[in-house]
Amino acid sequence: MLQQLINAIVFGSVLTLFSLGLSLAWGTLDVLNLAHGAVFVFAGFITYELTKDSTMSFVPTLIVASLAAGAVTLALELVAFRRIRLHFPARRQAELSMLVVSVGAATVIGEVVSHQTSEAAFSPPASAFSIHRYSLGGSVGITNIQILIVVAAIIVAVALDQGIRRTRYGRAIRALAYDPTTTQLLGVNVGAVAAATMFLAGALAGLAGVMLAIYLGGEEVATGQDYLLTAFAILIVGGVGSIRGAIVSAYLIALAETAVVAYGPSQWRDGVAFLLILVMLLVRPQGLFARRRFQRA
Amino acid sequence: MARWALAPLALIAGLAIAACGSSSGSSESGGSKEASSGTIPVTFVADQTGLVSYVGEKVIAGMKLAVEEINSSGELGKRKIVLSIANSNSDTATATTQMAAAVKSNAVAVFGPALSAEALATAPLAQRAKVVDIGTLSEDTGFLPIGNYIYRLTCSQLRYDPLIVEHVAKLGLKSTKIVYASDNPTLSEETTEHMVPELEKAGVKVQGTVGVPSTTTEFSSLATKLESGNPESIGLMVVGAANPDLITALRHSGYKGVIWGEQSATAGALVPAGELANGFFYAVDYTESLPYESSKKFTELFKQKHPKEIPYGYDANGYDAMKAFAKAVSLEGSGPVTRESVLKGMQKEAASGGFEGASGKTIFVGPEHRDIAVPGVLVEWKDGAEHIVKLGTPGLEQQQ
Amino acid sequence: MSGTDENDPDTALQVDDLTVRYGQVTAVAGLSLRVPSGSVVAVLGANGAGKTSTMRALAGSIRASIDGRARLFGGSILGLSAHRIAARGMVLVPEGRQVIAPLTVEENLLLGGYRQRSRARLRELMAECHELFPILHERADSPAGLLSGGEQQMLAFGRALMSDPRLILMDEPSMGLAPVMVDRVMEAVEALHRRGASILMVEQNAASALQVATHAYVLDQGRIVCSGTATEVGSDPVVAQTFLGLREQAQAGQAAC
Repeated sequence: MLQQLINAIVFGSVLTLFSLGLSLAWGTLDVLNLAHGAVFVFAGFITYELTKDSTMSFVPTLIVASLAAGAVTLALELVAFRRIRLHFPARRQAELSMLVVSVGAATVIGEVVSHQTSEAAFSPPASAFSIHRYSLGGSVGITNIQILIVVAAIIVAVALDQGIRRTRYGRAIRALAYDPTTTQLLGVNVGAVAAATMFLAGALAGLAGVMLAIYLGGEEVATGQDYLLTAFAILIVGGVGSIRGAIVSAYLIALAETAVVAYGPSQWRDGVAFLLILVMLLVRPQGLFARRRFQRA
Repeated sequence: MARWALAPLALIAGLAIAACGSSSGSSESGGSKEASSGTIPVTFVADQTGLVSYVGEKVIAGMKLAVEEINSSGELGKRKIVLSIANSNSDTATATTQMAAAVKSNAVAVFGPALSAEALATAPLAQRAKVVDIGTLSEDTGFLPIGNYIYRLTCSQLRYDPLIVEHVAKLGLKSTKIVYASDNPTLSEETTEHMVPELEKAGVKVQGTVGVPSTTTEFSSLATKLESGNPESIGLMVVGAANPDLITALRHSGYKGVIWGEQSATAGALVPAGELANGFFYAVDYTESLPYESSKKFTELFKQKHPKEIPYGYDANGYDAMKAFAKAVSLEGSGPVTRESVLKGMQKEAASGGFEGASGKTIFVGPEHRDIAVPGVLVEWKDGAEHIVKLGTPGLEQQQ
Repeated sequence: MSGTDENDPDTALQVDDLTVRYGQVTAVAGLSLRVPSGSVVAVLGANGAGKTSTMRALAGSIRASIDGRARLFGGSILGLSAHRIAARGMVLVPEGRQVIAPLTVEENLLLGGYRQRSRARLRELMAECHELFPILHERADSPAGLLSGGEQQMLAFGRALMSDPRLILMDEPSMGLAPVMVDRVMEAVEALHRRGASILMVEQNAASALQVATHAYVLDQGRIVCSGTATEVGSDPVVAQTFLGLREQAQAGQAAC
C-alpha cells in the first residue's frame, strides 16, 4: 500500500514534468504542440547519445539535453508557429494549422530518432547514473532517481506557478494569452515572450525526457505518444492553461492509474485517462481549476 | 470543435508486432510470361518503411544474403535468382497494391509482408494467381487455410512454449506470475490458453496473470503488484520496449527472482536494460552461436557482409525463406522455372524433409505440410548477448 | 514632406501624408497633423472617418499597408513594431479600453510599467496612479474584467501612465460610457495633461473633446477637412453643425475651415 503510494507520487511527478510545458504552450499561445512527446523522447535520445560512451556525466547531460529540447521547440516556434500566427489572425484557424504542423514536426523528430537508434528502444548506460534503492522498511523502498524526479517536479512546479503569478515575465505571458495585440501596445515584445515561452516548454519536456530516460528501462519513439495522451487528460481535468490545475490533476491521474494497476484490471490503465476526460467534459468542462471566464478581445 | 477532440490525433499508436519477421521467397515460372532464360524473378513485398520497417530491413538483408550465396554457389546451375523488393510501407492497402503488381509480373514466387493484416490481405491474390507465397506472419491461424500456394516460414512462439516451461520447471521454480500485452491478441491468448495450463501441468504454480496495454512505459506500480506474493519467477509476454522497461522496474523495486520472456526480447531489445537483464531467458528461431553447420555458414556470411552488426532472427528468417525457395527450385531439376514448378518443388521439399538453413534443420509441418518449422533454441541474455541454454526440435508442438 | 524642423523641440508628433490601406480600401488618405509638445490635440470625426486606423497605424498595431511619415520627438516611427514604439515614450490607450480582464487591476498597472526596469520608479508611478485614480487602489486585487466601463477606462489611463509616457494616444476614450462617466474621463485626460504628457485623442463626442483639447482636427473619409485651435474649430459653423449638432453656434461662429 505504502509502496504503491510512493509509486503514484513518482508517476505523478513524471506526469507533472511532462504536462507543464504542454500546458504552458497551450494555455498562453494556443499551441497544442503534439510534438511535445517527440521532443521529450528527443531529449532522452540526446541523453543516450551523450552518455553511451560514458563521455559526459549526469548534470551536464541534463543541462545539454534540456537545452537541446528547448532549442528544438524554439525552432518550431520561429519557423512555423510564429508565422502561422501572423498569417492567420483568426485564432481557430491558427490553432488548427499549428496543430497540424506539430503533428508533422513530431513525425520528423520521431523519424530522426528512429533512424539514429535503428528503431530500437534505447537507454543511457548504467554508468550515466548509478541507481540505488533505499529501503524504507520491509519491502518498501525508493530509488535515488525516483527521489530526484519528485524533487525536480516539486521545484519546477513551484517555480513555474510562482513565476507565472508573480514575475514581470509571468504577467506578460498571462496578458499575452488573453490579448496579444494590447499586450504588445503596452511595450511587451510578444514575439520574444512567445519564443521564450516555447523554449521553456520544450526545455521542461527535455528535463522530463532526461529523467525518464534514466528511470525507464528503455525509451522508444512511441513512448512520447503514450505520455501525450495522459497529458491531455491532465490538461482537461486541470483546466486548460491552469498551472496549478495541471499539477493537481497530474497527481490525481497518477493516483487513479496506480490504483487501477495495483488493485484492479491493469489493462484498463489507459482507460482511466479517457474516462476522466469524458467525466470532466460532462460534469465540469472548464476543468477543476478553471479561472473566471472573460470574453476575449 | 472542442480542443480536446483533437487529442486522439496524438494516438499514432505503435502497433508492435509480436515477434517474428517473416520471409518468403518465390520464383516465377511464367505460364504465359516466360522469364528470360537463366533468370529466376521473385518479388518480396517487404515492410521497407513504416511501422515495422525495422523487421522488414532485416528480413531483406537476410534474403539478399541468401540470393548472393545461391547465385554464386551455382547450386541452381547457371540460373540466377533476381530479387525485386516492393515496399508495402507496413500498410495493408499499399501491400495489396504491391502484391497485385507482383502477381501480374513475371515473378515465379512472392514473399509476403510481415504484419498479420497485410499477410491476410495479400495471400488471396497470390492464391488466385497460382503463385507460391511464402508468408511472413507469426501465428495467425487464418493464413495457411487461404490455399495450397500459401506457405509460411515463421517463428511461432507457441512452438517454444514447451522449451520455456521445461526450463522453468528444471530450475526448480515453484511459482510464477505472468504479465502480458493485453492489446495483443496473440500474446494474450498464448498466455491464458497455453502458458498457464502448461506451467501448471509442469508443477509450477501460476499465481496470476496481469494484462497491460502495450503503450505502458512506467511500470513501477505494476512491478509492486507483480512482486506481491513473492513469486519465484515472473514471465513477460510483452513486446518492444516493455521488456527492458519491466525488467528495469522489477529490479529497481527490489525483485530478486528469475525473469523470463518470449522472443520479442531478441534482436537487442534487452540492451537498454543493461546488466539488469542478465539471466533473462526466452526462446528464439536463431541466435548467433547456433552450432548447426548451416547456421554457422549463415552467421559467417552475415558477418562478412555486415561486420558491425549482430545477426538476429529476422535476418535468419529472410535467409531461410530464400533457401526454402531455392531448394524447391533445385528439386525440380534444371529446366525453366515456372510458377507451377515452384509449387511442385515446394511439395517435394516438404515431403523430402525440408532444408537446412540459418536456424538449423527445418521441416514442413501442419495438415498440408505448408508450415515451415525451425528447431528453435532457448537462450539466456547475459552481458549484452544471447547464450544458448537448450536447442529445440523442429515442430516441437506437433509432437505433443 | 513636413515643413517643420525635424528636431523641433516644440513638436511631440509630426505626421505627414499618412495613408492606410486595407487591400483596395483606403481608410486614411494622406493625413497630416502635428501634436505640439504639451498640447491636447483632438481629432474629431464620425464613425468610419479613419480615426482608429490612424491611431493604430501610429502605434504600430495594425495589419495594413501604410505610407507616409511620422516622427515622434524627431524620430521616425512608422513601420516599427508596437513594442518598439512604446519604448520611445508613446503609448496608445486603445478603443474599448482593452484591459487584460483576467489580470488584477494591480497586475494590469504593472504590465503598463513593463518597460520600467527600476522598482523604485515603478513604485513612484504606482503611487501617482493611485493618487490620480483612487479607484485603482481600492480595487487593486480585483480582476480587471469585473470593473465597470468607466473604471476600466481609468485603469486604461492608469496603465498608460505607468509607462511614464511623453505622448499618450487615446482612441475614443468616452465610447460606450454614461454621460456622467464621460465627464470623469475628460477630467482624467486633463489630469494626465497637467502631469506633463502631450495627448492626441480621437473622439466622436466632439463637444466633450473640445472642452479639454487645445488643438483640433476634423477628419472626414480619411482626410483632414478642418484644423485649428480647439476654439476655432469648435466655433466653425460647418463643424458645429455636422459634428457637434450645435445649430446656434453655427450661426454665430466664424468659419475656420
